Amino acid sequence: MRYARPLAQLIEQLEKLPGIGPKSAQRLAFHILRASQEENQRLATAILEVKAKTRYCQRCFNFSEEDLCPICQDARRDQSVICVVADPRDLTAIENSGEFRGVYHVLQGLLSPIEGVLPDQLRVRELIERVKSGTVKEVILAMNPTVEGDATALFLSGELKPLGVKVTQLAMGLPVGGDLDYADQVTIARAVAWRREI
Amino acid sequence: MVVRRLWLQNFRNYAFLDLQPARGLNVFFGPNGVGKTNLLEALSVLATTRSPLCERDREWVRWQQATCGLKTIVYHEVTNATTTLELSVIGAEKTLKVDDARRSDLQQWLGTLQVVAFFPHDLSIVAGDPGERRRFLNVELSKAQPTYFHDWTQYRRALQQRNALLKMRQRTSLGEWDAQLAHYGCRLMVKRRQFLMELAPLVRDTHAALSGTDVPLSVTYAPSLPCARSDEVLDLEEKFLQTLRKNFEEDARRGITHVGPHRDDLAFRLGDMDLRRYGSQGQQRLAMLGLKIALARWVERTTGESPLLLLDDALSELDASRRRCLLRQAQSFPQAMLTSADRHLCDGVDATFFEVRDGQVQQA
Ligand SMILES: Nc1ncnc2c1ncn2[C@@H]1O[C@H](COP(=O)(O)OP(=O)(O)OP(=O)(O)O)[C@@H](O)[C@H]1O
Ligand SMILES: [Mg+2]
Ligand SMILES: [Zn+2]
Repeated sequence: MRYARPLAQLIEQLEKLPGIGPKSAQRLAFHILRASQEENQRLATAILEVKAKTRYCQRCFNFSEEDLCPICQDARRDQSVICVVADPRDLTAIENSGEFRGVYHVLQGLLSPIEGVLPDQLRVRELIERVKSGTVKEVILAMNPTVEGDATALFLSGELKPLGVKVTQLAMGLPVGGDLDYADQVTIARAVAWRREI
Repeated sequence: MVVRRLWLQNFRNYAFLDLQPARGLNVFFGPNGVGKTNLLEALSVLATTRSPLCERDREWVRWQQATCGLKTIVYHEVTNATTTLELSVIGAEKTLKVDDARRSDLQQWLGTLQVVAFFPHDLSIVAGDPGERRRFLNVELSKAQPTYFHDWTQYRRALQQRNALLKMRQRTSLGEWDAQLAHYGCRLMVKRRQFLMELAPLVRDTHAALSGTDVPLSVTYAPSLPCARSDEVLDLEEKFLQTLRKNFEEDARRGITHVGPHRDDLAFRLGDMDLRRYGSQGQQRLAMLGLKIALARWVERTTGESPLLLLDDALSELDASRRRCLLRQAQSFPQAMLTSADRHLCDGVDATFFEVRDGQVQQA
């Protein structure tokens, strides 16, 4: 059986989303079809606004609504400790552990020549500038323990060490080959506490 | 360990099978194409959830059927306990149950049924190209040590990344990839060397018992990085790293990394003879049987439990005295299963006989 064209179109769009198969797409589409006009308006607006109103924080390159993200603006956070992560999801995972009181730097990826990602494609130069500005005492590298994560951490420590800053790596207790995003919060809390110098 | 019972549903040419193998040696005989190999394949699938004979799971689902089920009761002598394994395939989905509880983690399944199998296609381990021998190393070491599997996947990933960089003729961040390659590569080389050191004497002894001659069969590790051969090299990781650096120009020109565990090999020699180049069919077959039985002894030694030994069509090409030696070896396991198109090859042997006929198995 074929669906009416507007419904089929919605299913087709939903199916393109990551993790959504044909069955889930149908379920979501029927849910949207049954929802009230106001609810759907809010969903549509949110989808349109996320792109229009989100930009990168000028300091840490996390997503932000303003020039500086709430973390960078927060005077209670320790600006002398920078935790370097690959992407905003990892940042959120560490934030949720509630253990870390410093600030972040989002690389926006990991070194991966297969996908054409070399150091120039990452926010490496910006990180070096931040460290050179003088107030930074410690940089914590919090990459996933994959070959890409380790190669990136190794590269960054090679660049940062000559600047006289303390470089540590958050690695203890993370599942081998795992995703920082999925690591449970206790593990991350422990990992932050156990960071070692590299 | 001993397989007490095996059920198959829609597996290859078996619509339904309920089999109670005996302790000791079980012989399955019957004409070509009746399902003897399929039976041993099913037991291999129950051991690892994958078939050693085909890439795609779909192939072992009976034609025109959407679902397929395999179930077994395994008895462990060491603990005097039984475990039930159940694997079902429904469409593209595979579900695993251990003692009726669903398991999503393969680690909780592996090891329950340990199988060492010889299939005729294993002759390519000695006769085929080096990739076949590396696959043997990777499969057997991964089964024995989950960390080996991790090291191997990480190494392969790092290798792909380094090769991608070489193709771009880029030197920035090359050192970081070299370091990853050296780290994981060194772990692989050490584990492979250790494995061969433990396996080689077992292979020599087993082969001597099978062949009844005193020309020794040797299997040695032939690493692509020569210094990995000796366990006296303490700074292997550093040596590998230096080699990678030294090879940069040539690697960059060819766009590939040409030294490392991905180029390792094994050497099989009968006396002084290179078995791959000069060995006869029977000599190669006997060497592979020696290798597999030695592997079973190694598994027994490392896990503390005897694996189930599967020998598919192992008797053909062997002369009468070597057949007797092989059967004697097989009988020394708590349980072994052997297939043969010719029942008379096992005449007078103390074994339980089963006749296989088009997807039916009957004790004879
Ligand atoms: N997916 C499948 N569904 C149904 N039948 C299959 C399937 N795969 C293979 N077969 C059948 O199984 C038979 C082969 O069985 P098997 O390889 O076990 O034979 P065998 O008894 O070992 O023979 P031989 O003595 O020649 O080695 C073939 O007749 C083939 O048609
Ligand atoms: Mg066969
Ligand atoms: Zn910020």
